Amino acid sequence: MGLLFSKIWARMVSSKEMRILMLGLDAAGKTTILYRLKLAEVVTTIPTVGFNVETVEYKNIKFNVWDVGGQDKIRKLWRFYYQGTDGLIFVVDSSDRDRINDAKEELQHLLQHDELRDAVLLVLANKQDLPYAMPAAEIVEKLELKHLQNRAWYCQSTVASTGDGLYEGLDWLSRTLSARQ
Amino acid sequence: FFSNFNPSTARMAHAHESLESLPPARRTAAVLALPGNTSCFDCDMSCSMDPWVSLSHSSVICITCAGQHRSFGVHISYVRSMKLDTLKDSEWRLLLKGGNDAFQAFLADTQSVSRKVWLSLPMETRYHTPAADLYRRRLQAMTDGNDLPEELRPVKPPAPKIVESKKEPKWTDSDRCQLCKANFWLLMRKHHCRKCGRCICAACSPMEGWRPLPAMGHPEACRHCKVCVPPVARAIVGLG
Repeated sequence: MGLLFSKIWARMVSSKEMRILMLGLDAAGKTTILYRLKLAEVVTTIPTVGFNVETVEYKNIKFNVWDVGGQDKIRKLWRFYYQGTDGLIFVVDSSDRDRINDAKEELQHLLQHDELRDAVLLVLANKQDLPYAMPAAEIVEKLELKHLQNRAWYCQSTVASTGDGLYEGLDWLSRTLSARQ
Repeated sequence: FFSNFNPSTARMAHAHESLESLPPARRTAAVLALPGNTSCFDCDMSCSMDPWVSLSHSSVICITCAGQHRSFGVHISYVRSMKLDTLKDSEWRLLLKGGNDAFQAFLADTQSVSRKVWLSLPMETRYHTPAADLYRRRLQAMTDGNDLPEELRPVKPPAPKIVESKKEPKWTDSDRCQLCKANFWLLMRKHHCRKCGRCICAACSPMEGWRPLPAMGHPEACRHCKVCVPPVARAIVGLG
């Protein structure tokens, strides 16, 4: 009985922790998104060489968000951050039509890793405010998300500089990850 | 015009031919050897230790200015690192054709933008000038092998930055929900949107729409009306 109560109590008050890995090509907006969530401010970023990590608390869940630099030669280091990842946020620059194919290849490549087998995938179609940005439906098509097998995924259009769509993305992550536990 | 673009045509032609035989480390050195390329085009800081480039302008910049360039979007400036990225052959060729001094000379010639004027303009304004726009279009045409455009075009100014109000709104009072017009009574309680101050019912401020508002002193998710947080309709879900 005590165990039951403590379980119910834990369910009600304790906040869960989730490890979130945020990846994407360079200049997709990962660091801007991280600090928009953490500080609710638009910070002037410089290209990330290495990584940033912040804890974002939202709706009783602690998201430990790891934001790793996306420059060509440092993408090899992504795999050192895979272990124990509950959710993968893949950020795409929707206005960069020339490199959407590179983004697809990087995404498909990293989803094949065994350590990310159980991670759910949130794709953020960022920079929707820029001219000629591809809408979320086009991003889904270009990234070939519909071909993914055994993977819960969700694609959300966002504008990191205004914060549009970011919390909708976190909502989905928290719903999906808590349903799973 | 080409004389501005490229002060030493003969030397560059040579570099262009032998690009394939140059190993990447030497390529960086060859780009940095172009006039003006050892310091950042936008702040004059020495950046040859960690050179970043704006491929849209074929210019060398420092990592701090690279961050600002990236915020404009790739249609204005496509930024890469000479150290941390693998540049394509076409991109190396473009870099060897341009250079900071060539860009500055072009700006001075077309719109009399001197070095001093350039550095005094706010960063975002600099790259939304007709001269910078023409330079971008010329480089693009050169890469594509098209005729070089000659005339200046008006440039759409960047969208103004949205400044969120930091003041908490005044709560309005009403006998009816200001959105669905339902009357308030014992079991239909009054609530207020923390963002706009509207007086609304619970159904018009569903919990899915609750968001933190740290700027207004609400670090935890707080009540928002359906107007401030419209129901999601822009996402696409898949279960694989």
